[in-house]
Parts: sequence; structure tokens; C-alpha cells
Amino acid sequence: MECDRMRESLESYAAGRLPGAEASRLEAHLRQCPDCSRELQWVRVLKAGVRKAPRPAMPPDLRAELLRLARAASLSRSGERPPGKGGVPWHAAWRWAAGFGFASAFAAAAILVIGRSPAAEETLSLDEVLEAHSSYEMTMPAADRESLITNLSLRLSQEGGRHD
Amino acid sequence: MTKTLVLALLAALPLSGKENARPSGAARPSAPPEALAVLRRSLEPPQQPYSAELAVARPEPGQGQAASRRLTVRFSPPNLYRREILGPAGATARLIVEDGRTEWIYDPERRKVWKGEPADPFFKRFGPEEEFDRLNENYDVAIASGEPVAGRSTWLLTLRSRSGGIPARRLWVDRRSFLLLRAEARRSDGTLGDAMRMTRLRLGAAQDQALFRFSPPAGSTVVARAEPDYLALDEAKAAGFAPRLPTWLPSGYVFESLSIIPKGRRSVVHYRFSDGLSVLSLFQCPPRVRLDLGARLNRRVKLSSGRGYATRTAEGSVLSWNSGGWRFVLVGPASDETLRRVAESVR
Repeated sequence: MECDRMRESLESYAAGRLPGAEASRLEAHLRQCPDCSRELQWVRVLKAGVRKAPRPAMPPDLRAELLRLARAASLSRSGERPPGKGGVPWHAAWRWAAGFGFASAFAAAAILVIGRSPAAEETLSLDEVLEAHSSYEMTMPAADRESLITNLSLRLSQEGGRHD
Repeated sequence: MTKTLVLALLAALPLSGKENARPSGAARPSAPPEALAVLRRSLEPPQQPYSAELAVARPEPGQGQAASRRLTVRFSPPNLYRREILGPAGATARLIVEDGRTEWIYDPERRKVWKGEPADPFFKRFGPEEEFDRLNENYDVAIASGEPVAGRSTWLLTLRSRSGGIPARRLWVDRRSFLLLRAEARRSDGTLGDAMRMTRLRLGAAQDQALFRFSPPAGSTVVARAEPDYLALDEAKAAGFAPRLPTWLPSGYVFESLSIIPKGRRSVVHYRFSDGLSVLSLFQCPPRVRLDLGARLNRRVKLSSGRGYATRTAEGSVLSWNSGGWRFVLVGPASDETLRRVAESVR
């Protein structure tokens, strides 16, 4: 009966969505239950299979219609009038034009700056290249994970990274 | 051969008995078991908890002595790890905790935490069975009695490419638990690559579960590492990429998957090619992504598309070049000539 209860949480656990306390209880159970451990492996294999399945492309006409609706909704919001007042469409167009002009000027300046000095986030370093290579190596069957994770952790200190 | 049948055959084989047992004059040495069966057992997740002390060494190309590190490892089934990499004075220089969902890497000196996901081969396009089959296709696996490691009897597995050459990998596997106790990799030029050796092992000892929980210490900086991904070529095309792949690869290598590395508003594609044991990585960068490969890529290589730059790192040889408006970086445990040939074939 406990296994039945625990197995209901396996999918959420495999997706990383199980809250901490529940995940801890499940992990304690998995350590003692080879059947549920195998079940978790099956869930992971299934998820991997779904992930690998080809994703059908969105039909072009559906895409066009969605974009049209999105644009219409956006314009409708920008053209909202205060209650009781006669709203004038031109003020929405004015805001749009002013915004566009400002954005163009800003973009022109930005191009001058960006063209000369790529932002740090648009730079690929040798350490990042080697980190990505090593991270993938750890998934290989006969990988010496102890060596790889040790060296990877030392290399990480040599590069920057995104902050949470 | 199914996993169950292999395990049943293995259980029936006359594997060695006591640890550290010295064969008497009247005892007949037991025949080694089937090499692939031992290799397969060694690749499965450990079934028992353990604590161990290890030494890992990584020779840096061009430097005389390998950089060596000591670390302690604790493991609790099914997938909890705690590794402490020790500094020269014995204090913890890095703490690595895998709590089953997250991989935490902590540098106490810099007060920096890297948060990511543990490597999980189940999400690859080539699952563990496919990779193992590829390994078997491309490598000959031989077994022999190995020297004791951490006081335990071992089987020595030697993996040698079927297309000839030096042994690519040597693995010392514990005869009882099939835990990997020692490993050596060889580079394409025959020099020693990464090496790992357990110096002490305590198998079966229950581990304090609190050791496998980690929260970033107050005041530390948390850096998110990119989530691993394993995409097919079609998915890259659907995302608007025009893959540029090599038309020539070293024997046994095939395309496995790719991942997309976001760089600001642009993306770099990382293609991975596997032969079941080793990996070749090819990075395709759009023109506006700046490559900061440092001064280390200082060896010029002549390519038909122009000039490339190469170096050797501990992870493998690196070759970088421009072609057709793209920038490429190739990384792998291959000779310079092999990398050059791969680069020339990228279309």
C-alpha cells in the first residue's frame, strides 16, 4: 500500500516538481524498495522517449491567425480609453510613434556600442566550451565520473556564469 | 543478452572469494569471467552505500607533473553523492553534493555555488544500452586479474579500439561489488590522461542522509548552470539553425545529440559525437558571438577555409576556425591531424 502511494509521486519527482518534504519521504522509500526504484527508472525512460518524440510543426495558417490575434489584442490594450471620456485613437498612435522614434535612436546608439564590444553574455569562452564538453562526457557509459566532476568543479571557478 | 541473464551467468561463475586472499599452493586460479559482463556490472549504479578516499590526477599538456587532488566520496543509493575535494592543507576546497535532483558545487573560498542537474544518461538520444552497444562495436574489451586497489581484489578491464591503437581506457573493478576502484585514460598520443584511484573504501556503511542535503550558505553567490539537453538535428532546424556538420569523422563516431547554449540574444549549438567511449564536441557559433578562447590557442593550423588555431588542453585537443560566416570550435581526444580532417569536412 505504501508503494502504491509512493508511485503516484514518481512522475512529479522525475520532473523535479515534488516539494522538498515529499521528495525526501519518497527518496527514503526508494532506498529500501528496489521495485519502486525500477519503476522510477521506467518513468525516466518514458519521459526521455516523449522528449525524443518528434514535435509536429504548427500549421502556417494557425500560426498566422495566432499572431494576428496577438497583435489585435496588443493594439486594443494600447487604445483603451478612460471611462466617461472620449478616447481618441491618435493618442495611442502618437505614443507608438514616439516610442518607435525613441527606440530607433536608442537602437542606433546601441548598435554602435554593441558592434564594438560584445556584451559578456554574448561571449563564449574556452572554459565554457570545455565545461560543456566535460558535462556531456559524464553521461558516457564508462566515464570516470570522479575525475570528470573533480576537474569540472575546479574549472568552473575560472569562468563567469549566470546568477540566480 | 538481457541484463537478467547476464547477472544470472555472472552469479554462477567462480568469482574470487575472500578479499586479500592469497592463493595457496594447492588452489587453482579461477578463470576470469566474461569481460563484457563485468564491464556491464561495473557501469550499473552501486547497490550499497559507501565512503571512500580517492586520488585523481590530470596531466596538463606541456607541464611536467600531473595535477593531483585528493577527495572523499560518500554514496547512498540510489543516487546520492557527496564529494569533498581537499586542498593542500586538507581543508575542503570544493564541496559537490548530488541530492537526486540537483547537483551543487560549492567553492567556500569564493563563496560561490553552481547549481545544475546531475548528468543523466537516460535523457540522451542514445540510451545507456545503445551507448554500451556502440562501445562494444568500437572497442575490444579484455579482462585479466588486476592488482589490488584499496586492499581489494580486482579485475582489470582493458578497452582497446578495434581500429587499432593503444589501450584507450583501463578500469580496475572490485571483484565483489563491481565498483570502479581505479581508472586510467590514454590520449591519442599515448600519454596518460585522467587517472583515478581509490586509496580507502568502506563498503556497506550506512551514510548520514543529512550529508546529502545542501543549501547555499548565506551570502554566497548562486550561479545557474545550463540545463543539459539532448536534441535531434530536426529540432535545431525547427529552432531556425542551419546545422553545419562534418562529413568525415574518426572511425566509430556518430552524431548523438545537440544542445543549444544561449548567449544573450543569440545561441551557440553544441553537437556531440560519440563512439560509445569518447566524445567529440563541435560548437557552431554565429558571427555576433565573440569567441574568447584566450591566448592558449596559439598554434596556427592551415585549413582550406583559412587559418585555424589549436591547442591541447587536459580535456582534449581544441581547434577553432571560421568558415562560411560561422565560427567553429572542435574538442576531443584526437590527434591534431584528425581534428584538422574533421574541420575540413564541415560543410
